[in-house]
Amino acid sequence: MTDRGQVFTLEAFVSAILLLGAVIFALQAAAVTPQSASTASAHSVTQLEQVAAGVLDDAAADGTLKQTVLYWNSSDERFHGLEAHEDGYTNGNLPTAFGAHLRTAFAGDGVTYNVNVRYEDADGDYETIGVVDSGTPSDDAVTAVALVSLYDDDPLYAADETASAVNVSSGAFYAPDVAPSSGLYHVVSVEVVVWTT
Amino acid sequence: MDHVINADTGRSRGQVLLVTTFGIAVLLVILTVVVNASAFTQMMATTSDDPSRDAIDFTVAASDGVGGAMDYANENEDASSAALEAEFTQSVADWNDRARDHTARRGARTDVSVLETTYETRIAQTDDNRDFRNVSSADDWTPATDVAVVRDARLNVSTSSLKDANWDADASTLASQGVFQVVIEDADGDTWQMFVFQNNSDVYVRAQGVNCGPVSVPANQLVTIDLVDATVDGTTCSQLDDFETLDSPYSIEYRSASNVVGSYTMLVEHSASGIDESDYSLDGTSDPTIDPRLTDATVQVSYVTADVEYVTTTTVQAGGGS
Repeated sequence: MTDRGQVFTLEAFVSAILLLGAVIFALQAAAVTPQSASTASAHSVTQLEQVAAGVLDDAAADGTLKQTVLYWNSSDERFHGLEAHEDGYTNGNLPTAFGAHLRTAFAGDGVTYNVNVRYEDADGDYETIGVVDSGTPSDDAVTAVALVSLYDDDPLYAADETASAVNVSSGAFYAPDVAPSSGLYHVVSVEVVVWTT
Repeated sequence: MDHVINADTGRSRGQVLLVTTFGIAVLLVILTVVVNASAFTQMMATTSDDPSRDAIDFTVAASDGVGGAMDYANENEDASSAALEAEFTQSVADWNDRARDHTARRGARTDVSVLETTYETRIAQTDDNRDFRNVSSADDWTPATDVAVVRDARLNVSTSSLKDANWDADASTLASQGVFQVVIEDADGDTWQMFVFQNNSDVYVRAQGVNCGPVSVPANQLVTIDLVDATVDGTTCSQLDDFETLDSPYSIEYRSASNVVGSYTMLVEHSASGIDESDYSLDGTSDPTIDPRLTDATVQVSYVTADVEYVTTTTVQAGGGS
């Protein structure tokens, strides 16, 4: 009888351990969701990417994206209005028509974005220059990319977004002429990185 | 007996407890797997990884790039269609190389190549006192070949400079007399022929064996012959535009060009090699000149990734570049 009692006890312990293990497994087996420090769902992340791509497409079509790429102060060797220590405009402060597009698209949604221009330097390596620098993107950040073509006779743009008398091929631009045997000056890649805060 | 029965019942309860626990554990695991699969499926369904959008975006960027190359060539290399062609094709090749580096970073292999180009050239002689020979003084020469469309063709001729011929002379007689001719011929050898001559100071224009005229103008005035509008000095002459019934492409030839004085202008659409620049002057003298322009280009764009292979042909118009 003592043996039976011990067996019953053992069976109860095994049952409890088995049940506990199952519960722990159920609690630890999380769904594969984007690791995120924020509360963004997959839907909103997808929507952000589509909005960013749409803004880029519109800006490329109406020329404001190219104007932003060429919004370069050749004297100070930085974008207009930036200080020497600044790596880019802060979120929402890009003073071009493209910046206005971004503000319209992302204002009030708790959305932060970076805008970078990727180009090839004189050594053939690829560099990135920040246009809008809002910090380090979160893990769930999405990126939209557009190519912008520059030609030897494209003018740089002044602070008031009018075409200046200085051409991009004047030598005072951040990207060099990578096609000296033709009228093509450069093909840069504009990246918009968007995330929610 | 009761003792034995109670012992057996006790063992059964223990085993039932274990089996039930085991069953509950299995149910929990199954529930977890199902919920996990549902969440994962929903996440995958809403994940935006649309390679087709990237392909479309690249095609748009390529069209903008090709359009920009076309505009640059038209604005900076308009001396000849050969120079335009060289500049344009080099620009597109450079664009293709630069774009590849960017798209490769996103896992795509891309290519942009030019399949066909179309040029439009304004041919003009503005000096009313010059004959219609080319810059090398050739009497018979071809202003344009491989012409797809003639958009404008107006000749302003001086009556006194024209050969005097009988109004009813046949074509071979007119040709042997050195009467000025415009001959348009297609690839099949079909021709359209126009003679311009005078008879007693009246101008006659004969096209396809039918006379338009006589046209009488004061000695110091020129007679305008419009091939596209089919008029002679404003009067309709329907056989003048019969050359449009020929199958393009065709060539436009002047014969006995020394036997006509005046000015002319033509606007023709042609292939890259349709104009021989050596027939013209490039320095704006009284000699005939050309002003070529690249009007459109057909390009093939391909975008290939592990998930999609997209190849398309698109025609880019001048003036549409970024």
